[in-house]
Amino acid sequence: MLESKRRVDWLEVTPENWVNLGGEREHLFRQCAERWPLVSHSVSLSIGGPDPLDGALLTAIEALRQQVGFAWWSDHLCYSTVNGAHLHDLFPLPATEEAVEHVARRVREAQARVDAPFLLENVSFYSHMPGGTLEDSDFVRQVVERAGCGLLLDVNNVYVNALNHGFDARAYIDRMPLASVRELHLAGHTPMDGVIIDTHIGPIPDGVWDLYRYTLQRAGRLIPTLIEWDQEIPPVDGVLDEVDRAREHAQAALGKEALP
Amino acid sequence: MKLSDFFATVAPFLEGRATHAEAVKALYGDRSGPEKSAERWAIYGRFAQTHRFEVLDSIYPHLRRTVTSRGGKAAWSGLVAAYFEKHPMRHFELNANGAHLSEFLKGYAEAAGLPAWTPELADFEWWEWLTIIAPNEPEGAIGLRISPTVELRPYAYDFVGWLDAEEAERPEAPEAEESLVLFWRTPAPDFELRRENASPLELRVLKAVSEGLALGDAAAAAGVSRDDLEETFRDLADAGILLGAD
Repeated sequence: MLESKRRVDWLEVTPENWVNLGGEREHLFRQCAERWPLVSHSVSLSIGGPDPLDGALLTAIEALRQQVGFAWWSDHLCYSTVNGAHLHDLFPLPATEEAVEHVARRVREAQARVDAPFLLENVSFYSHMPGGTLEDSDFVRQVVERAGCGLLLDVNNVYVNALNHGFDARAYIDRMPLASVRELHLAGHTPMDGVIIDTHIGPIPDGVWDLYRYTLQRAGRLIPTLIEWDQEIPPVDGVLDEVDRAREHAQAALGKEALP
Repeated sequence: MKLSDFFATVAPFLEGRATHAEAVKALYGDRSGPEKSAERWAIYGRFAQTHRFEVLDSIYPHLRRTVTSRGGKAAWSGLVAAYFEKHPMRHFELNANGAHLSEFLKGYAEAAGLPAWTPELADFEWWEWLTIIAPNEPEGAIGLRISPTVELRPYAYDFVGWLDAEEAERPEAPEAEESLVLFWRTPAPDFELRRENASPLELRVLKAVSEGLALGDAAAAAGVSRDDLEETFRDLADAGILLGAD
């Protein structure tokens, strides 16, 4: 990345992998922060979890914000802790009114700890949790509206969930609070044993590109878009080719004048 | 199901303490559907388990090799499960959750039929990781000083000699030999991990620098050659152990 001259507008960093770590990691982080705007995308907040929010993580994210001044920060609409322990993955919540209130309250608590707008990301899920009374799209929308936060809409997650659970991905996009969407994620996925796993292995399939164009058209504006490719990573040009493709698809969706 | 009951139900499976069948029964009951959700719940158990292995696999490759060569993959899996049952992952940084393995092995190794030196091997590998991520020196530091990445650790076995041997010629166990290992990281832009058995001369130079003693005075006090100390001093400066020696 640092050696490439190709256009990259901004980067997303997972703070858990960078904060409080010296040596080469700190060196690389500083070089990236000098060259590109960064935003924070944590994976361990467990915003829907049963335990108190991790104060050390929130403190680290706020320190990072003070260091690099990111425009927003985000985490996932899920839980990732039980019994006070991190599980280091993203687990789906039951889509209930109680969970909506639980998450919305904790989002407000988290927002008070970091001085930047907070976005929640819709997650991929492979199982419906028992007791759910809401459609997933309603669950996401209600949490965002009641919490007063932004939405990081992961288009690949919508696509993967639609395939795994048999719903209409475009209808799901229609039900999102698109005015609250401040960032989009795009990624690849992998079929495994009859289920599609959100592996973030690219390249991005045509179906996801199609849903991306649809999302932008429905939103009626360009939305900052990130390519996630974090397993089986090819040489950097392979990733940056996807960034260029995202610009082409955005232009196809919105017209040339919509792009900077 | 209330949210608090939901978390109490999913926790045993995600923590690796319940089987998929037990988890499905607790979560979905005995009713026939939703079959796909119940079946796919296994995916989440695999995800959680994978991360437990990732921590110890990445930080302790030599310990893992030692354990698997004696007891197979099952022995390593058993160790990983027992470790995280005793030390759940409390830290948001994944690798930080491997911090207690050496201490854990002191009470686990003998009963599991592992060599007595495995707790020390774990300590050695943990310090390799800590050296890689040690905080960088604050900008503007001046004067002769020991690199902030330097750490000295005592061991009853020669792990450096053992691990540096060609793999095909490496003995089954490290030699029992008291050693003091010097861990450090080379300065920017290389940031390379180094670890060596510290020599008596190196220890004298480090002590002199730490206490602000002139090498001549240190040599006289210790009854060693000043030339030898100065040569060692230059070697330590070249290696990035001593900074600001120019």
